[in-house]
Amino acid sequence: MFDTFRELRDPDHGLVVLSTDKFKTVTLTLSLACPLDPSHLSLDAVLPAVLARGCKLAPGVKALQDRLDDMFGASFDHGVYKHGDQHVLQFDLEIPNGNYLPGKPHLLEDALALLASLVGEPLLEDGLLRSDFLDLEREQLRRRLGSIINNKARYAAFRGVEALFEGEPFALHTLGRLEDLPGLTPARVTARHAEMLTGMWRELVVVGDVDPANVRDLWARYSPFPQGQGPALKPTRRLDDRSDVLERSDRFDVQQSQLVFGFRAPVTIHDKDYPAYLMFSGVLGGYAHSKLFVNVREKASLAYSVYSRYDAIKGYMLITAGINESDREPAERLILEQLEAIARGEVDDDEMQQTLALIVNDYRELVDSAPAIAHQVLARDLTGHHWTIDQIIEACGRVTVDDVARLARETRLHVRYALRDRQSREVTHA
Amino acid sequence: MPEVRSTTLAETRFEETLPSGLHVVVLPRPGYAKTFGMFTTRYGSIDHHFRPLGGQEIRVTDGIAHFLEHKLFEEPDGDAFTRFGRKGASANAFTGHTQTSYLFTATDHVIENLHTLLDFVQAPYLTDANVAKEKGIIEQEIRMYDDHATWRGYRAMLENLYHVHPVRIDIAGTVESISQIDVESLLTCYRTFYHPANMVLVVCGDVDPDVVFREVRANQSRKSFEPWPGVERLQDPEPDTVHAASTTLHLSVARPILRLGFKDRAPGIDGEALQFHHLVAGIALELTLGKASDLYNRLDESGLIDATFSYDHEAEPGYAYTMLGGETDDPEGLAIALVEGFQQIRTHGFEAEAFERVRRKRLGEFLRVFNSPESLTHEFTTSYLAGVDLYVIPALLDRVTLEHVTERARALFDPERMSKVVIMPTQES
Repeated sequence: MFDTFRELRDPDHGLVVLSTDKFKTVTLTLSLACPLDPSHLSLDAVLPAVLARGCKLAPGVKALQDRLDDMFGASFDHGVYKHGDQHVLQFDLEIPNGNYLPGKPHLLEDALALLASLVGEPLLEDGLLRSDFLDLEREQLRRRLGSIINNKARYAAFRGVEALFEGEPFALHTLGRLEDLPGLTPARVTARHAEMLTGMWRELVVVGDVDPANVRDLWARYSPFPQGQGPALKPTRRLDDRSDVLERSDRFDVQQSQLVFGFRAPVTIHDKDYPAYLMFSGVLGGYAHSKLFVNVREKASLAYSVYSRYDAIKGYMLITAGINESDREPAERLILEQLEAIARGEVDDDEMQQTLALIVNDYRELVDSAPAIAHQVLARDLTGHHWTIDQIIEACGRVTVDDVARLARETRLHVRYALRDRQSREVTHA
Repeated sequence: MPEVRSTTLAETRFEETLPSGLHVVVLPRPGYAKTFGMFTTRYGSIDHHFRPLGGQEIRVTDGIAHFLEHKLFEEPDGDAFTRFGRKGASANAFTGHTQTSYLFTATDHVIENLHTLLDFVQAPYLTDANVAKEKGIIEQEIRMYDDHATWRGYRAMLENLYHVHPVRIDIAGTVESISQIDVESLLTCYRTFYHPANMVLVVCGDVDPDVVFREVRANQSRKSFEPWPGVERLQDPEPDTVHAASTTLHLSVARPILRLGFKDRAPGIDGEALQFHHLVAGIALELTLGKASDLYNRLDESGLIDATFSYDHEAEPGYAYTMLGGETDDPEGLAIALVEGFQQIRTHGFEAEAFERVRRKRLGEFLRVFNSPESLTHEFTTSYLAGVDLYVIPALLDRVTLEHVTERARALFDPERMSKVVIMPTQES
């Protein structure tokens, strides 16, 4: 996938190493994936956080931080996210490359040992994960779930996705549901941890100035997982088409209304039209020359923020905009007109050329960020797609206005959502 | 084109000041696909009252620096985004309290994009119509921030800490203040602050420095610039005290948010001395509130803080402050626990072992800056504007002692210089 790096794959240990001297740090990304299941979401959200509170090698928050600081400011982070119909638990460790530090310390072995201990050797009481850690993290999760309303643009996008996938696990928030929290007992979380070690798909991606064979030998020694990459992943389900449009709204005390349009995309990363859909999405609203930005923001002055975003893993597109409530009707009309214009083939060469040039730029610059590289490798291995960056770029270059227009016509509006001020007048659609 | 090397960091850079006064820096990143270019003027939202040397005193309306940043992208036959887009570059800009920067990233056509960057910033195209049009867009930007609780808390804190210093004014201004902006006032600001002698260009990527300097010299020699008279920034004296000790806001949030601020005693220093002051403050804060600190662990275990808890220290020649806080169910309880914790630190200081560990951590973190052309360019530019060579940071860190940090913590957490902002949830239906 990345021709400029030396890549080592060791499926026996779920390991990928990309060796490059570009970076002054080494990035280690360990991912565990399992099918998105409503009853497991909160469990999977709380588990990495409980593990991060302490392990055999670093028994406690302070002990872990001291250990990281001793490794010249290594950083550790963890989280969960949805990747299509998979739920991914992620552990990230970044260490400085000792070559640029006084005394040239060797940090890699310590880093792999620490990562393995955090994942595989949690602190136990009576054979279970510690209940005091779990109590703290269950409470943190409750608060995080409550606080998702704080960022109104992000909350509106979440509500759009929720409506778009009503009835599917993908509709749920990656942190799960408030009502699941009382069920997060030490016994269940401990059982889930055992499943995580043996029953989930896994991959460690290491990017940096390292000797791949050395990483392989070290991980073979420290890995807490059994041999192999774990169970195979099921493909992500596509959204069924529907003929009507769902209308949803929420009211808060806000200055600005947030509009969200949710669409079924006819194309996912597995289709040959994937590059063409990237072009369509770019012409519509990914860039500063895109129709949404030029016509809704620059010409009509209706919004500061107006974008489209395409999820090629799950196969949907969102258009989001922050507007004045009094402008809602003209803004909605103008936004949908941009899509209709593309469907009629009203896209000039300049729009196509700029979109192509910027997509090429986006892909080319991925190789300059170690986390972005690790994420690309992971996305490839999670979905099993076969695109290389060069193939995507080349295929984008062959996309025509007719292709883009056809995909615009096949893109169906399923959801119309508005978050607006509690005091504002009700507007109904004709 | 003098060369500056750091053997420890394995870094080399090239820099030169052109006859117009423009300072140009090339930071080579061999093996990187992307080149990052950033053109910065030493002009931000706090520069609202000034006198061009030899000219009249001027006071401008709030939000004008940010408005000007938006407008410079406008061109007679379209906008600069289009010119960049045609050459595969993505462009952007931002306005801060003390600087305004215009930037692009490109993996191809780097030299053409570099010319575009210099040309669009150096050729303002302002008309009554395009200025009027921008007001609607910026109004939506302001309203977006109005709904952003964290930003509102930050703004409210700056208003609490400062009586008159313009850092208390919102960078974007207000819907009312931007309505007063016109072509003439924008041009006044442009002429005063966008002279090459007040600007710096940084190019970071896998580029040939000779080619970059040749092209930038050629670009600038095609344009004529009057000699720059310089500018005097006028500043009403800022009292030493905080302006308001406490504010409560009601916003649409799930849980209360607490923010504490400490007005740093204006040290009257700049350059490396100010950078050193800032590094020492950063270490003192980390020792007090970092994840390895006793105070953090007490607050975490008692459930008073969560992952949103953060702290920061800002230091500019005219102002310096510490801000900290996050979401909490009990803002009063958290404030009391924090103040007690600070008092203990002021009395007992820090342990030598913890200090050494944090200093080592800072050194490792500094290396991360060099991983990305964006972060390196941003850090380099900020340091340059502050009169500091970025490469000296490891040496400055090496000079910090436990005594420096202990003494700074005592001054930093002075309860007389503290202010509190609490954001409470409105009742949602």
